[in-house]
Amino acid sequence: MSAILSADDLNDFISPGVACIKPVETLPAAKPINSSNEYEVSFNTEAPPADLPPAQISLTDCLACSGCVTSAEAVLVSMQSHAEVLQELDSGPSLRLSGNKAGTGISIENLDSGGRIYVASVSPQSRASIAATFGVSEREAGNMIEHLLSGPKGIKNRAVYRNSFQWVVDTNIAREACLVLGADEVMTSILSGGDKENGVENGVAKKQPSKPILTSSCPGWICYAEKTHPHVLPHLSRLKSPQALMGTLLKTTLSRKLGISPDRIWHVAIMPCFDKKLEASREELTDAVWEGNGTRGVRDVDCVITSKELLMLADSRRVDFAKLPRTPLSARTPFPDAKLDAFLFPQHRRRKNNIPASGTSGGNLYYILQYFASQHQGATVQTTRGRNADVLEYTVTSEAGETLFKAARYYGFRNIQNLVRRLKPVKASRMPGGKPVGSARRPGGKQSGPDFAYVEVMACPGGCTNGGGQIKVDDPVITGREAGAVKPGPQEQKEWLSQVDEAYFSGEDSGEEALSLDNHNDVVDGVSPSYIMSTLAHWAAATGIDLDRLVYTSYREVVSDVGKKAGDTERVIEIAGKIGGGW
Amino acid sequence: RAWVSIPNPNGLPLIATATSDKTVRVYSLRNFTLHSMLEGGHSRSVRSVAWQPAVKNTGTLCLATGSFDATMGIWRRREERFADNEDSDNDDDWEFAIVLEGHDSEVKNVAYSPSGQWLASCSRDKSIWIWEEIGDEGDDEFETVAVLQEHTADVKCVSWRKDDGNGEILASGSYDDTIRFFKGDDEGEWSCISTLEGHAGTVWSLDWEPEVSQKQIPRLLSSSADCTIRVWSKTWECTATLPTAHDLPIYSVSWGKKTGRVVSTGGDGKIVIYEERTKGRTSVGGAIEREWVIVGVLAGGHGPYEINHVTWCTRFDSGKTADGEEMIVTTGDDGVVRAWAL
Repeated sequence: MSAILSADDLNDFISPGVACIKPVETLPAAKPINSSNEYEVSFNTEAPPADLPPAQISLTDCLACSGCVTSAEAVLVSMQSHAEVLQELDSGPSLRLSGNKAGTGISIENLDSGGRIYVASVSPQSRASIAATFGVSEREAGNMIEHLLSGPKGIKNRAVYRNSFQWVVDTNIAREACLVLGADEVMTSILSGGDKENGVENGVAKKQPSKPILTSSCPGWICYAEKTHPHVLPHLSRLKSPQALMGTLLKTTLSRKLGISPDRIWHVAIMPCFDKKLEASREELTDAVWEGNGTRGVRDVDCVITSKELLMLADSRRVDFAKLPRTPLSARTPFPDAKLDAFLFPQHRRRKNNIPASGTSGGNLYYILQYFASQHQGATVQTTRGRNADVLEYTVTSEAGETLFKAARYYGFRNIQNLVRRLKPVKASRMPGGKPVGSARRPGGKQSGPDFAYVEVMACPGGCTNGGGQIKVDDPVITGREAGAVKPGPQEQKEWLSQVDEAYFSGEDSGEEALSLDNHNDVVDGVSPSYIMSTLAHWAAATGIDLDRLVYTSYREVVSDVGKKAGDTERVIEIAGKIGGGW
Repeated sequence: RAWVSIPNPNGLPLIATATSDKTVRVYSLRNFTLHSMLEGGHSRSVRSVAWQPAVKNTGTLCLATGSFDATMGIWRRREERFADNEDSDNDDDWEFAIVLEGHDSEVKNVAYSPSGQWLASCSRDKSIWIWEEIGDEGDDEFETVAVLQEHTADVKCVSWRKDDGNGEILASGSYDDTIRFFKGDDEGEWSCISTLEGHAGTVWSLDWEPEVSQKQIPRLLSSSADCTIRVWSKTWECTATLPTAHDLPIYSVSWGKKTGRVVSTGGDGKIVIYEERTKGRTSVGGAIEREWVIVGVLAGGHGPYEINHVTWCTRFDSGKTADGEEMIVTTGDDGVVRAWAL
């Protein structure tokens, strides 16, 4: 699992004979296993395959596959980097927008120049990482990032075309929508009695996930589930992650309102981990889904860079990040839709970020608990710690003491193991002679499913602030020394993480006046569901695309026939393994 | 081919052998006949087997198996009381109770901690998993406690050290030439507390010193593909290297409980026995020095075949001369398990 992937981990032992399975899929005709691939081990005695077309593997294929060893994955992930961002920015003049202050009638001056519009979205965990690194507040970090990406002293300076990002948005905004829709999904599942799968509505398979519903915003978790535990796929929340939702929002709105195709919009997301790069390459998150023209489309998020890579971006342009202004940018072109402009760039921060109980990964579970409790007068929420710090169980109890709702948080690989094991369907006994003892896996009649309605699953222990792409405690930017001179122990790493968490939770109070601006008074945990739903409806109407296609996604089992199942491949591995020993 | 033979640590006269025919055979040590077989649970070679330490007198035998099919199995059997009981019901057979999945590739070694609380497994996927059985008796639920990924290559072996008040420590040896120690804290967080470097080849086998006096910390013995056996102690340095006797990788070492002797075997098919002797002082008032000497070598114990495993084993057969006498059991590529007496 590449949850803590970094460019240092490129020393995987690649066993001979492990061949790429992807070309097999793209070949038009019959498929003998491992036919046309340049990585295959071939013995001199075999006739070389005749006249086969060269296998083509795209970035998307490789990243999501489990066929061969992960060194290739690591190399390809590193291709989505700050260097690529700069290369793109320097490829030609960007599209220039002009328009009036009211936000209507924005048009593009140089449509035929072949250029693009650049937009960026920034995650709160990246802001927290930068805030802790430079000793500023999270809000100031956000402003500094905006200056870097859009401001005159940022990457625009000294750039060949003076290109910069037109809009820099906060993924927290998209996250609010995800929270509301997520609570909705859970409520529907409870009301419909739990296990209803695959309901079809209006011809679109509106697959309601089955209980317990599992968070789907962590790509490390999703890739792992798709490859190794496809039996949990029916439980995954159908919602897109905040990154994906923001991507869809930006691309659909801008392309429709400015009259350009989505490939003229280049969207960069700044995230705390490398797995988000895998998410950006998913086929399910392209315009093929919402345009519906069935081709392999343009991605909703074109490039993801990590918090650390953002600093490397600044370095490459010789911008001293620490010296960037900490106040917001003075001028900004309004977004071409007034309602969405207000949504994306609120005057005041609506939702307070300062509740540690919500965790550092978006607080999906916390919101759902609060929402559920708000629907039942006098209900309370109890928390129990599980086997370790990354497992927490929550119970919502009614005033009368009755258990209304159970949920849990499972962070980290080892805890995910325990969760998927309990969700695994029972298999028939493998004992010869059919002993009536029952299944090889527990249980027979006793479904030991822990009875949760919702589980927040994240791959990284400690949540997203501990992501693989965050700035590490031994980074020279922090220590001011040569990298590697200081070897951080687990204690130092723990302390650093708590500093980043502190920055994450220090979001300034927006104040009560902001809420009344919107005239909605059904606020739960700082978010008003009715405001969100009306904004979403507006978005769907403005772009003319069905809301379901905009906000929901799907998952697929990744099947690999390498290594595990018997066949030619396995025999090759066994033979190769015997020569030269190693068992 | 046969991989390992593990004697029952709870005093029962049984030994379990894991083989490449996907089964485990349990033999009686009284008369060296087949006692029972564990079959049908794995789809590839069983590489490792471990007896669960009998903490409670439940009357159940329990074995953990680790296989090349990347899974581990937990097998149970009602213990006969060794009165020749003709009533051979289905109760006598081994029940394949649980499958533990999670490793990405071949499981190389499994080991229960001396207290029976943890089960460790290591694999070619470079990770070590620690499992704990939870719930009530007979619930058959295991949970993953930790997944340790510090090694940079195939992990060949794991070995637990008895709790000396500081908790049970797990040692592991790997294709990356290092040995690592892992320990869990009160919060359930396991981490690597030490890395021992020094071997110039894969560390194939580890064994802790079996009997130590109260104040001492047991030393660790390791054998490697660099044809040396090392002793590690104090704050974990290599404090001794046994005299070289092998010219091919040493696959297995065992430290005898009764005699304190060490036996080793490997790719060259030799069985070598070493003893630690005091050498006397080299200087007035200096520390007593000790050295290891070879006391016996047997070549071709399994003919030309490699010997994969060796262990000291208490004798229960009629030929024994004293109580607790130990013999040597070797397991070879020829699929044969042999017992040797000195």
